[in-house]
Amino acid sequence: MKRLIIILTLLFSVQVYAQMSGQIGQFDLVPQRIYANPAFQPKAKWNIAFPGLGNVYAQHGNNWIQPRSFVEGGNSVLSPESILSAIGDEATTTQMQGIELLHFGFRFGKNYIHLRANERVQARVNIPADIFRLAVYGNVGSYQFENNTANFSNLAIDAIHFREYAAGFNREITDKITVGVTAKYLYGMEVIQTENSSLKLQTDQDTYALTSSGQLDINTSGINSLVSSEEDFDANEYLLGRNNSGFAFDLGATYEPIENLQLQISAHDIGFIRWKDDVSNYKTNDASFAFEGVDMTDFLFQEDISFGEEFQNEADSLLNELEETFGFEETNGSFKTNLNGFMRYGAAYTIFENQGFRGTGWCNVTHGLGESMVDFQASLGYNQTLWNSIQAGLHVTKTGDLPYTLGGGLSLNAGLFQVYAMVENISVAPLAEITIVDSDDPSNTSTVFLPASPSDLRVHFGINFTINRDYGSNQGSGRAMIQR
Amino acid sequence: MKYKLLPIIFLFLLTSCVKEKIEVKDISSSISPEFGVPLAKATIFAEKVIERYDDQGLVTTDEEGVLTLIYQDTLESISADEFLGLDDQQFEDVYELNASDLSNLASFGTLSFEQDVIYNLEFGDDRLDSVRFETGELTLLVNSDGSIPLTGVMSILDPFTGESLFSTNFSDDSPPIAVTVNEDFTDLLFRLRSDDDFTNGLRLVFAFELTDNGGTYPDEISISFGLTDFSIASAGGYIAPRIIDLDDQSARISIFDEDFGGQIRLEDPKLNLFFFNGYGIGVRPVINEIVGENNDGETLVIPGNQIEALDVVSSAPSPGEIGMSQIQIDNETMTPTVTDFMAFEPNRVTGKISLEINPENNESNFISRGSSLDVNFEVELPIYGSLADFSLIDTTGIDFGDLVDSADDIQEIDQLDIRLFVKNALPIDAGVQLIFLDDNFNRIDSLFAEPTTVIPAAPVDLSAALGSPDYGRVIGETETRIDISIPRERIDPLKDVTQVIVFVFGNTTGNGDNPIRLYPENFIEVNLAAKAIFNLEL
Repeated sequence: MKRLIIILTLLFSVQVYAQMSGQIGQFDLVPQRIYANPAFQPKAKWNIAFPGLGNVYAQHGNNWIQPRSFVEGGNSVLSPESILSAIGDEATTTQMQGIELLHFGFRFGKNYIHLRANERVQARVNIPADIFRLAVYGNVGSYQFENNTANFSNLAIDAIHFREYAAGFNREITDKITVGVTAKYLYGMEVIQTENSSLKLQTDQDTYALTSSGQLDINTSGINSLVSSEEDFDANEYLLGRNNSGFAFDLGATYEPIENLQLQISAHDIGFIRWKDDVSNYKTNDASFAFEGVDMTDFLFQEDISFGEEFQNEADSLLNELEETFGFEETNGSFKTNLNGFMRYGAAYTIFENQGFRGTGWCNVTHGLGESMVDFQASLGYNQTLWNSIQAGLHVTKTGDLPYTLGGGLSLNAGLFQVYAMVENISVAPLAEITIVDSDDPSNTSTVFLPASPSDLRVHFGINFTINRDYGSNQGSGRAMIQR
Repeated sequence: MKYKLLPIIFLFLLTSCVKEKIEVKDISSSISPEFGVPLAKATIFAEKVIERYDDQGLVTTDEEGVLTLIYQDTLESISADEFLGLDDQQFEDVYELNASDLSNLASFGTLSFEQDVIYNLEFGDDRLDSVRFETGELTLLVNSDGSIPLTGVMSILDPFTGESLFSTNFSDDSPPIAVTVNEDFTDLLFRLRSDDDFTNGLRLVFAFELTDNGGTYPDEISISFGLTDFSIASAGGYIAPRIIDLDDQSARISIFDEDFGGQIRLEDPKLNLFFFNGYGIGVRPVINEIVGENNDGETLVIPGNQIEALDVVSSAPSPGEIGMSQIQIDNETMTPTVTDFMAFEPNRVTGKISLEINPENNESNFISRGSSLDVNFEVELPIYGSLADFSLIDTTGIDFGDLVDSADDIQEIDQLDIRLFVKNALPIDAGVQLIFLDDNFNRIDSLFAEPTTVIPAAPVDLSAALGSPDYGRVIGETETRIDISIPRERIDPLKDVTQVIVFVFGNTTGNGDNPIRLYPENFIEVNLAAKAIFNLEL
């Protein structure tokens, strides 16, 4: 039962690493635009999300799955070495899911207030390429490690599962300025935090002497009970009774310096969770250890001792020292994890607007705050609105070191019913057709299809009930795209 | 209207599925990682190398810090008795009673008289001032030809001060009058008078008393005095020169027990005699001959006349102290040189040696039993020289069974490479060959196809002056990486190996053409490692 719940929450949670699709803020018919800036006001007076389906979010990211680069020379040999050569310094895989459990909001006067609850999961596995290189080539093989050192620094697994209860309020202060805030109570359920990861292994190319250094510190909460088969699962305790609490907030503002232009700024997920339940802290000691072989200097020429016994004793002593160096020491102290806070800066310009049609160009930039894992991202896009019933958008995004991606979204509204979907990386859809030719019988081929570039995939979809979508237009200048 | 729909059309076109075609002609699912691990290491300093080769010799350093092998076998101690060689002493004397004595005896009923004499102890040419005996017996016989009672006292006096050093009474009142007195004079100090009149003069005083009981009066009283079965605790005075032959002094040079199979040349070997003289008398060692015997039973004799006369060994400054002397026979004092003598590779050197006592004829000497003259013979071999084409062979048991079984269990191992990484700061280059044999000594495999010099010697300083301690000193180190590849097909047969022949060979730096000096800081560091090459199917 508990595993089922975990799996479900993993599959259907939202807002991973707090960085949703960069375009959602521009869909002013969608109540979830408020995730992009707490100062944003959706256009409808009343906004109610379909429970559990208001905003379903899934994200997958990796920096290493690229079928084209897996094949050496462009098209001939597929081998572990060729796959490895396509990986940079680190193979990073992120998996983020979430679900908006509840969302309710309404506008009154120049104000907008909303309440929401989200289940959020963020997971990242970071594997230094040197681990794969060590496995494929060995420590003294054909691959030359930099400084003869296999660098496992940043080997990390970070995962967090928590629930967020949020209450937001924003208000149009003047005709040009709107400010908003969202306060969040956080309920932590599981976490794995790699606090420190700096292991390295150096091999002397002459003597093969091995020297390790660095350390690995990992904190967990809720994992022991998750994997333990001895404890009876208590669903109430799991879903509501854990003593892992935290707080966070979002702040935002918009400003219109000239007609049709809106500038946006916001800070998100500024907060933390303190983990107290089912806590384990695993720490290595300083893993500095030099293994140069069994040192026989002291007993090599002694005739009154058993060489075999002395060798064994020395080897045992080395093993004990090795265990002491690398043995994980477990403690149970509470610890804190910060959310992955980030800043968002945006601008939107209404290119044209007439009765029923509106075209808006926009751009935004996000970046992490402090030790946040949120990557730098910049987007440039265009949104088209038709009759307050259809909104469609298209944009280009550059995220970190990843290539440029194309994204798009569509919101359809019929009466109070609204359905929307947004994709951040449309190019993931094109497939690579991989034809494998039997070297003994070239006429014998088999074909598989893989995404050509699945490096960053973000999908939102949701169902909402929006009432009085003209409310925003009637309240302001009628420039809906930047209407507060 | 058309214009306003363009973005939507554009979006549709871009999201349509675009295929990228990749053709894969070869798929490799195997990897061949190569993992290297250190197995063992040892840092061996030159001293350990020598001790390993020869654990009999004492490894030390000479005055220049060069590692030196010392071989000492003989330690002889010469006692005070051997120095003096004194015989038993015996004296006879008669005291005749004259008419006056007899008249006084008849008149007064008693007669008392004394006899004060100095006896010359026979100590050969030695003229001693004092003697303290460790053991010995004093015997006094007094006889009277009368029958009246006789009593008396015998005293030994300091001949110069008259102080009584020892006395004993005697008495007999029934005829025949004959008294025998035996006294232990252990630890008794006798002062002796040696001058123009006396030699080793011992002063005795006899006091007699005769009592008239009506018996026959004696005409004479005879005395017999003896010192027998004695040993000297200490003695002082003039000890005359003499010659003492020592037992053969020998040293076993175990480094030559095994045949090097090459040419060895030691540049500065020495034969040392150490004297620890607790006596106040000088001695001069005299080498009669030196005999070397090698591993083949051959001998090389160096007559004493081919060795320069040796210096006098100093005496102890005062009783209880030790006079230490080292007498050295080196290349300068022997013909042929000690270097040539050692080239004979004698594994036993014997010195036939005598001691000339008090060669400078000093008047004042002393000896004592508590002290001794100890003689120690040693051969000193500084590791300063050259070694050419040496080779050593040994056979030892070995069992690779478990190792091979382990390798069998890991079929993914394609090849095993053994690596030796050697840092050599010894001035010796060496090769090694291991030949693996089965129970019947059939060859199964060998480490190398052919014996090869695998570890080059460290460079040495040949630019320094020949006599300088830096000449032949190691001035660097060599690094050698030796990879021995053992493919899987060579591993399995090794399980039958039970014996291994170890063959070590080499030279000192420069193919043994130049002398080298070995210092304690010289070392060889050996790192043993293994690289396993796997063949893994994914």
